[in-house]
Amino acid sequence: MRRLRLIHHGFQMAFAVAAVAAAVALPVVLLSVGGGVSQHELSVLQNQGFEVEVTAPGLHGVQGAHGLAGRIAALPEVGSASPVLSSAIDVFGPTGGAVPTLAEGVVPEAFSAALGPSERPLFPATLPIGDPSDSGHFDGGTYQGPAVDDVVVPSPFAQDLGVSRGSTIWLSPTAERSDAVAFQITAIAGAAAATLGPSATNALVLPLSDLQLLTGFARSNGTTGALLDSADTVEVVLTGAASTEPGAVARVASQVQALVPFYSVSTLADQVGQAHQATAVLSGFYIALSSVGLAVGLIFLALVLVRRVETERQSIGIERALGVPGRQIAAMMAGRGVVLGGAGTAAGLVTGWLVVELFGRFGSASVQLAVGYAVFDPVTLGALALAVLGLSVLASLGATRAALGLSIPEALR
Amino acid sequence: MRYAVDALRRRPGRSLLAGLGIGLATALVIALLALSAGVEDSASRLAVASGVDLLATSANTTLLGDSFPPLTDAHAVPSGFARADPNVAVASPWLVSELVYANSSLYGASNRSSNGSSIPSGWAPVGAESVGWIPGDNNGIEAPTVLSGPGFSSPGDPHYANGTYRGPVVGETVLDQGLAAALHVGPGDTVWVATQTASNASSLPGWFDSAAPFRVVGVSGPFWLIPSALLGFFYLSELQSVEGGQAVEHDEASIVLVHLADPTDPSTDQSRIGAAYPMLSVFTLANVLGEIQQVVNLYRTFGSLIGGIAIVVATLFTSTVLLMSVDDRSREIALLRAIGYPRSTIGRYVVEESLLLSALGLAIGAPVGYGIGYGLNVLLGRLLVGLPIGFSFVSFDASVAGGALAEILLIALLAAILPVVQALRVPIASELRAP
Repeated sequence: MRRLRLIHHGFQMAFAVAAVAAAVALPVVLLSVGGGVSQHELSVLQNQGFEVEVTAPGLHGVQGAHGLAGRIAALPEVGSASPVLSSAIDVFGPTGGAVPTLAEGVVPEAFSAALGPSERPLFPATLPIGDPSDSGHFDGGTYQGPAVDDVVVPSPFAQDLGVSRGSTIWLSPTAERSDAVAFQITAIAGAAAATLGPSATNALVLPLSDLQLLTGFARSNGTTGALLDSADTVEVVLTGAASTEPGAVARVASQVQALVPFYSVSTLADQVGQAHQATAVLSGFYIALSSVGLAVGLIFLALVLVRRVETERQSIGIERALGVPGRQIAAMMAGRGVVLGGAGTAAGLVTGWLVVELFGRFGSASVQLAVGYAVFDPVTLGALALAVLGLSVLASLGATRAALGLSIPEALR
Repeated sequence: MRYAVDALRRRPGRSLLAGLGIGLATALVIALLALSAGVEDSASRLAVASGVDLLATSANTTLLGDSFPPLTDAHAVPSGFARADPNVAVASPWLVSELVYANSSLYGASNRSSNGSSIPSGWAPVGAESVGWIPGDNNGIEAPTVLSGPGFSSPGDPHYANGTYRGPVVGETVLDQGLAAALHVGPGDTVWVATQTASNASSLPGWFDSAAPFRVVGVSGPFWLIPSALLGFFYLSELQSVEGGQAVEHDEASIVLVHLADPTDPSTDQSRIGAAYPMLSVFTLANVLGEIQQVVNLYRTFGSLIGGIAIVVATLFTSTVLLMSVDDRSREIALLRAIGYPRSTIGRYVVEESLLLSALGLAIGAPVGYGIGYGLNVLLGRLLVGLPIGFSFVSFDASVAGGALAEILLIALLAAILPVVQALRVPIASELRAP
């Protein structure tokens, strides 16, 4: 009989630990994967090589990009200003049809200076796409200078297209080969890491003026109309010490804003701050989702602890009769809560890690990619474990109340 | 069943806690199921209601790709598609672009001084998504409802004039409510439109010189096909002319929406159009929904994990409460066995108790789950503007109810296994002998 009850209690304890473990595993998975993805996005943002970004509404909204970049670069504490035009184009290789891809038109020297530490190794130190300042072909806005028609191609794209350094490819604004212009591949860029969303890191890189002409964003009527000189952004790199000084970055941003009041000028710190806010909201959402399981697990724990008091009422009665103080009984109950909650937490941490590993191996492609960014942050997980332990002590309050409320003569009968 | 009710009533606090635990898990599962069903139902319903059976884009593009070069000869598409496939009822080329808009107040302020000093601080042109189309080619395809104003006066595209772009410029635009409110304009007002913004106040006079004036002929409701809070609509050739350069030279569009006379076998029409237009990629609605499914899969996996863990925790909880109940009634069970109750009856009592507990959980969880789902729908509806009328993030349909019932049954039956085994193994003699 007694053995059977002990077995039952063993099951109850084991189930309570398993329930807490399952409940803890959920926030472990959500916080580590969700936090990892957010951290990756933040790190991409923080690893940009520029400190201030200029954008404008409209279709490739920054107008007079070469001139604006020059004026920004002339500001004190500014090292360089890199205008970038991003546009979808079609590429024709030696064989086959049109392959749509993203192209980035850049000013080579400024582009290299604005590359972040993770992007810099992907490109040659000097971008071999002709005139470093792109001023030759741009020719003061006439676009009559000699075009170099060089392009840097990312390695996955080069492999898919079956081309290498020195090959000729044809770039076109449409899927019609007749609209295409021949470009020579002067370098193959390294492959950037896979991303969860569309990314421009695997784009073709060519001189800004070449892409503007190709896509019709040089002048309003090809080469004869009003000057457009369009770009999507201008990335501003500050000189040495100024780049790490928030005051200097804000000063430069405000000087740039004064040049183009109708454009949007944001600092990298602003963008990082916004990303941090988004991450905090997401973490709150994950915790809210997980709290249901945790609440059920802890109610469960409380019930099991009260049950244990019921079965041990006689021994508790003896202890009380012998003069064991109430706080010692309370400490014992809290200790039991902590032991069960702690065991559940430890098992939950391991289970969470295992789930992430399983998702990483057997999940769909998007799940595997997201899980690949998972970060098991000791601070976050430590805080989670401490919170669960604290709640376990709370869960033991019912048991403590039951133990202290026992009638000693009745318990000893 | 009376035995099971009696067992639950004997320990009302414990039964209520167990019911609460199961209820919370059920509420979470119901909310997740309702969210999944709602998004899927709304997307499918809207996709079907849109009248769009096929989508065509530039060659070799993928729906989730980041590279959508424009397609060419847009005005030839409606007749060309119909020739290639007689089942094509409507083929509508759309050019989607981002333009900059300004109203007459800004125009007036800009004209009062040459250096922009008369322009109040904070006044500037506004960027918005813009769609160019041939209004009459949208028959059968859902277009935004014009809430005020007469709408476009011509069903065709008069300015195109067989590719000369010398036809009359109608100069009409329909703005959605968001953009009309941002510009403080309504039907009859004039707005100026260009592809790029002015960089500062002093360059505004020059910007207005190069911008094209359009008369607002309508204010429309939200339009879900283009997910933007600020949206303007134009005749295709007039938007191409605003873009200028290659948009006119190549007669560009971004996408072609196709409505079929008989939509029962769109893959046949996809093949026919694909064969006639090798420079285009053609997608069926099933392709589009399949791609959406791929994106949703990531969220579905983690949603399943959340629901699964809630079920595991609730099952363990119920199982433990039943074990306690069997423990409490071990002598009673032994007595029943001793007077001849078969094992199956004892097992049934425990299963009934489990089912009753789970039903209590369902009674608690169903309204809570409904409340969570309703709250989530209101919250997401406020966060995301431009949603179509009738779009719901959650749906409480038969599949959700079925899912919740299945979850409850699963919890009840799984949770009862161990307690049933324990109840059947109660040692009759020693239980009856015990003091």
